[in-house]
Amino acid sequence: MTAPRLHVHKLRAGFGGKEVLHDLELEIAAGTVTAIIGPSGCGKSTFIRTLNRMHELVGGAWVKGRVLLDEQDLYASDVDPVLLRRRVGMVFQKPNPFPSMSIRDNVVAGLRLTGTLSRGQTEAIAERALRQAALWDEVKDRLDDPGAALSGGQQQRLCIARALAVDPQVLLMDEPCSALDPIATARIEDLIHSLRGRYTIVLVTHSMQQAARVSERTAFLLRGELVEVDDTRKIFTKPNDRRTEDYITGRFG
Amino acid sequence: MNPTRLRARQIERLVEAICLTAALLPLLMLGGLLLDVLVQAWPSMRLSFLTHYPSRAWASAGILPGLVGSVLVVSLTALLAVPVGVGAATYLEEFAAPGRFRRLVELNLANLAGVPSIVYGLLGLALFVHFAGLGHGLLAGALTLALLVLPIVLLATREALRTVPDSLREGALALGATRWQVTSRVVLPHALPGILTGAILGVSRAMGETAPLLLVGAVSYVTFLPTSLDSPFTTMPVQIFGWVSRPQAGFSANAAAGIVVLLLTLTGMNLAALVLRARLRRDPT
Amino acid sequence: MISAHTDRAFEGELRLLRERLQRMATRADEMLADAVRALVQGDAELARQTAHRDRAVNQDEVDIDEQCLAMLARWQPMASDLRLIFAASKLASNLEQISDLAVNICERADELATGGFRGPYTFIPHMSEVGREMLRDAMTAFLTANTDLAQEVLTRDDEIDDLHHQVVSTQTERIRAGDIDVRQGIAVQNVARFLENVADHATAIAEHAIFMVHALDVRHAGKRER
Repeated sequence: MTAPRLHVHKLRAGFGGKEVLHDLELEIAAGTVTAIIGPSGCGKSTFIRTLNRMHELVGGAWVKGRVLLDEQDLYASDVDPVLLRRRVGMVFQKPNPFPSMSIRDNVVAGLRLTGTLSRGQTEAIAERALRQAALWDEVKDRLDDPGAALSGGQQQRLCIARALAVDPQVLLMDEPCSALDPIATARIEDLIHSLRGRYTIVLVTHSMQQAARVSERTAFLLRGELVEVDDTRKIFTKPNDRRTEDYITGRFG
Repeated sequence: MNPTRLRARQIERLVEAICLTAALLPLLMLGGLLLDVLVQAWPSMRLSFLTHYPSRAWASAGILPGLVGSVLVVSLTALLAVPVGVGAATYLEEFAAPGRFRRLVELNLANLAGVPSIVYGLLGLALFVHFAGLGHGLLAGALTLALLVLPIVLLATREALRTVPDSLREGALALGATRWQVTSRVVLPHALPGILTGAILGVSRAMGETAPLLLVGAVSYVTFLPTSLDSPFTTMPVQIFGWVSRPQAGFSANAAAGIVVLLLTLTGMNLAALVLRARLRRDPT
Repeated sequence: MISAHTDRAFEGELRLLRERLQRMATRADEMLADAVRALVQGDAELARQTAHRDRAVNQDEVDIDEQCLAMLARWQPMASDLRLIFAASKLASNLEQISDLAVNICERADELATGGFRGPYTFIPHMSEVGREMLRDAMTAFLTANTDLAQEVLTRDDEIDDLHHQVVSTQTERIRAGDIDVRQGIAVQNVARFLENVADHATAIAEHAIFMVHALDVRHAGKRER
């Protein structure tokens, strides 16, 4: 399966009477890494959660507009959000391996949870996903250890392996390095570089340096509005919008 | 050292001393109580006490029907209350949409847990004994106790479910699991130790109850073991209650010995829960 | 114009960087003025003294580069800040080379004065005036983000080229006429070339100013596109 493109069209989302995202329009090319930056509360997390329909799990949450995955609207009435989430994987801010499961079980948890793991596949799938997540060499001798026994950075890569094991086409990452030290962060970023092309990756990050390092396109969100989206090089050297300039140079105010 | 620092330190010591006393006081009281019971029970402390039926002669009387009755009633209660309680709590926490209905149910639950047990006894008498026609038997007693224990199990389960971090639910949902898959494979296993604690707590409560059982029809003087769900029965607290109301000194020794047996059974149950929890924590798969 | 940075320490560093650039430019400009004065007045002593002031300018370049490097490492600046710091380092190099050119002029001044040469230095003072004006305007353009002024500097490059040619042909004429010694004539022509190079550096600074404001690299663009 090849990585799809994403097209966000007239997207509005919010909670109850409060609109968090206003009329977003965004094109995400297939197999690229797109970074979403913006100050806290700008709607970054809400936005990324509309891409795998996790947003609607919170009480009172609503979404209007369209998100096209290739030609398919994620919000069409015949789309089952549960099945959709197998195509659009997600990695969270805090590493959240299942504490009661071993490393191996964590990796195949997605398949096991959904009952799509056939016997005898476990080892092969676990190894493939762990290799993809650049964790295999570190854990191959202790696959039965609990996932929670790994370091924070390893746990996060375990979570990435877990997401990849379901064989998604899109990978959403919600501040995946905010709880990690610089070395662990560098490993994840290296991993993101290696996943580019095979997956369409959307990365929410607080670190502009990280956005600058790993993404090809960067979108700047401010108070639920998409201020600017452009090539990452362009955004960080010469953004078009004054608000982007002020934000990335730290003159926000 | 300057005077304010010195004063601050003195206050800290004082607070520490008060807290220590507060912690020790109930322990001392409990110790005293236990000692008193043991001394009183001493004349009746013999192995045959466990294997004999009640008798008019205090020295040959035993607690066997109470022991067996208690174990049976409590097991039945657990069988009825735990699945329903856990199920209801799981529904409320994991499935029900937050809203007026959920708030109403939760408010009532808190109230139910505070209702005096005698009220449950009356309810059981009306509902199970008379309306459902179950008679004054084992099942009616267990159902009544189940009503009593249900809110406790439910509230404890709810607390246990609330300690499961949302990040785990989200992690599982993001992998494309359904609500039920998330609940059954991730949330419940994670909350199991807490749920078990709640269940044991509730069942222990049932073990000590007397009043509702007396209302539903447990009798203190039974000379046979129950054979069916509608058999007449007794439990340890009921038997103890019966002995306490006899004037002869020997029977109060029997009552004290009954209390010892009851306490040992409770301790045994709590210990079992502790071991179970520890084992689940270590190897939860 | 530019709102203040949230981090006041960074804001302070930026201010210091601008001040250093300004100070360095002033030093280079004054060296140039004194070098040409020493040449025209035949003052060998002034020429030697002026040449020594090169050290201060060299130190300025080192300081500015160190500061730029430290700012890049510590703040990882973005967008306009990044462009400013990137350009500042290049500017320092341009200014240092201008001071080297001033030193070259001083050497010729010393040589000519000691050799008893007394001019005339037709067009040289004017060339120096134009070159220094370009330098000052380019610096102002850079420090105030004034791209109109920077564009103006770029257009004056032709003026300097013309003056250079006139100096060369005038001096060639004199040599041919036997009015002056060949070596002395060539020395004066060299001075004109140095001044032309000064103008080139001023032009480069103006180009950095445009890059800093518009992120547009105009260095190798044709004149029409400027």
